[in-house]
Amino acid sequence: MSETLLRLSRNRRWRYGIALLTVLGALAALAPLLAPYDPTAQLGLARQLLPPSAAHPFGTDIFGRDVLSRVIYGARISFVIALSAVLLSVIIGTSVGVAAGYGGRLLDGALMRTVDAALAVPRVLLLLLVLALWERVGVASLIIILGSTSWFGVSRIVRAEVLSVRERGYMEAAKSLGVGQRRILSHHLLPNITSPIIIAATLGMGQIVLIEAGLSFLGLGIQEPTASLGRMMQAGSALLVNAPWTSIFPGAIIVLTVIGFSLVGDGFRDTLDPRTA
Amino acid sequence: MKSVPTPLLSVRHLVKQYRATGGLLSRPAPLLAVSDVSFDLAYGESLGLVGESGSGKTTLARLILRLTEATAGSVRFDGIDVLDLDARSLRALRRRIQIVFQDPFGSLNPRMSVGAAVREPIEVHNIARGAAAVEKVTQLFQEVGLDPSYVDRYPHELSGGQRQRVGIARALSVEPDLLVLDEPVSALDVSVQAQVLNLLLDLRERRGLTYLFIAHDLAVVRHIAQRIIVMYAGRFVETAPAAQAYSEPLHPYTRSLLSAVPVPDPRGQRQRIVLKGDMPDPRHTPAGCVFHPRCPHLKKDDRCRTEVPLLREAAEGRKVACHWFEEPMTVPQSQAARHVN
Repeated sequence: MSETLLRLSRNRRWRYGIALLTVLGALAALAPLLAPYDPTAQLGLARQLLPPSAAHPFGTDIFGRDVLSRVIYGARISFVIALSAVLLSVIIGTSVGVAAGYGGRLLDGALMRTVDAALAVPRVLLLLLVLALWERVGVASLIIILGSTSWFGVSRIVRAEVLSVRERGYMEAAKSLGVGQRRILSHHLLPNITSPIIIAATLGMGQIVLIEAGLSFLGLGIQEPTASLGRMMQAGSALLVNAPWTSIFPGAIIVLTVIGFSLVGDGFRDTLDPRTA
Repeated sequence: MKSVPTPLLSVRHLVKQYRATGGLLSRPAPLLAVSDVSFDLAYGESLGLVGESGSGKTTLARLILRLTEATAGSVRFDGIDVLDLDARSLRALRRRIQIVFQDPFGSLNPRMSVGAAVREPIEVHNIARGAAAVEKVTQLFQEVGLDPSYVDRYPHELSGGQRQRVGIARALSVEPDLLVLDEPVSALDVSVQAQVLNLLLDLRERRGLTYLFIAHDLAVVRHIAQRIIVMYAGRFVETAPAAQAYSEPLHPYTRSLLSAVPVPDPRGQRQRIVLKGDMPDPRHTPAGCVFHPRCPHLKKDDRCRTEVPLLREAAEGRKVACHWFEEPMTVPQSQAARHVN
């Protein structure tokens, strides 16, 4: 394992990505300590739409709220949503993928045709549909919606890997030694399919951040007054000429986050998956 | 007087047919991997199963271990009907029949330390737990000639020979009676092959194991087997005590296999019999003797092309499936020809 870490650390993309995500992750994790102001506090008419200054490094928005504080809290929510949604999608996707790859031809056919059908529907359309049925969207429901609509790809990757690992000698060796089915799954199959799951999960994080921002931008995600990067960009888009700081900074954070996850995901793929390296 | 002890393993009329799926236009033809084979294996015996790639050796081994299901026939192990066992009894049986695989790398889980790999069956079968299990792993490592400090290593950190020793230690961990060795040395360097073969000989003596030793190479089996079965295209073509299979092979296929074994003495040139062509496509086995398209026998005739030769008693303890085994196979050479009466 330490050998893998060593190889990863030699991968430049992975190193930069990790550095970027560490900074952004620290911002998100330590938001209450780092944010100079309450992200929802309106600081008065006199402080509306102030350009960046020493007191407000990223300026203030139309309601007189500190943009830096809102960006930090917005990043926090983005991270929480992305992490939880990806976790959910990996759990569902891995279970379905293992069931399809290991559970026999009939189950495989049924599950994979369902996945094909789900993948045929554009993701945004699917999300709009689900969100239209939802009364009020909070962070938890957004996580469930995003997580339960993004496992299709994961399940396909996992299934392909299971089909390959299933035929390896050590699987048959375990069977011939009398190792039980459950233990074969947990000790022999799963540990050998982690690499593609890690890669898919990392790349999935960036996607979820983007989708969540997009939904919030459309007004379907996180609702005001909670700070959300997509929502901030949407509010700032009307003021792009007069007060560009209200949308540029949240936009920059989204871009950096997505780049970070892409770099780390690529780095994982280069080092963990010898076939595509 | 000859006593007939109950064999440890008794295989009768075992058949494995794969339902080959045809292509879009070709009709699916059944693939006969193992065709009606029968043999006994006595306690403590060491039986060599020889044949080239694709002859059905490994399939036969997997059938005995129930790693794949037989189409017909029976396998009795120590009186137990192996093919009839339910999942639970089958797992219990796995303690008594073990297999060492050909590929020493693929048969070890890359994410599991080799110590954990040997320990797993010990704990799964409740042979020992905790410190006692660790102790047992250490003993097994010593027994197969591995430094016990290697327990924490991963397969990729070991050489091929070391990995195969791990495979042997893992198979021995459940204290089996029968050890199936599926080409255990063919993936190894020649120098390492000898070491591992010696280890297997030692273990057999020390533990009183019964071996079913599979190989594609007669030279490897001769050191370890007392009796030899030669397989071709899913059928047994000859069975004989090892010494006789070497000194006077009867079946033309055995003779050609043997002629490929190098002779250490430069003057003792053996007549080389080089077979032409490949083993028949198992979906379209030839009529008559399966070996006839490649058979170099002088007497080969229409009977060989139409009539399947039965595996029949040729001499005391020997069987051969050839219509013409009594006849000299080739034009006698001054020293190479061997006549069998």
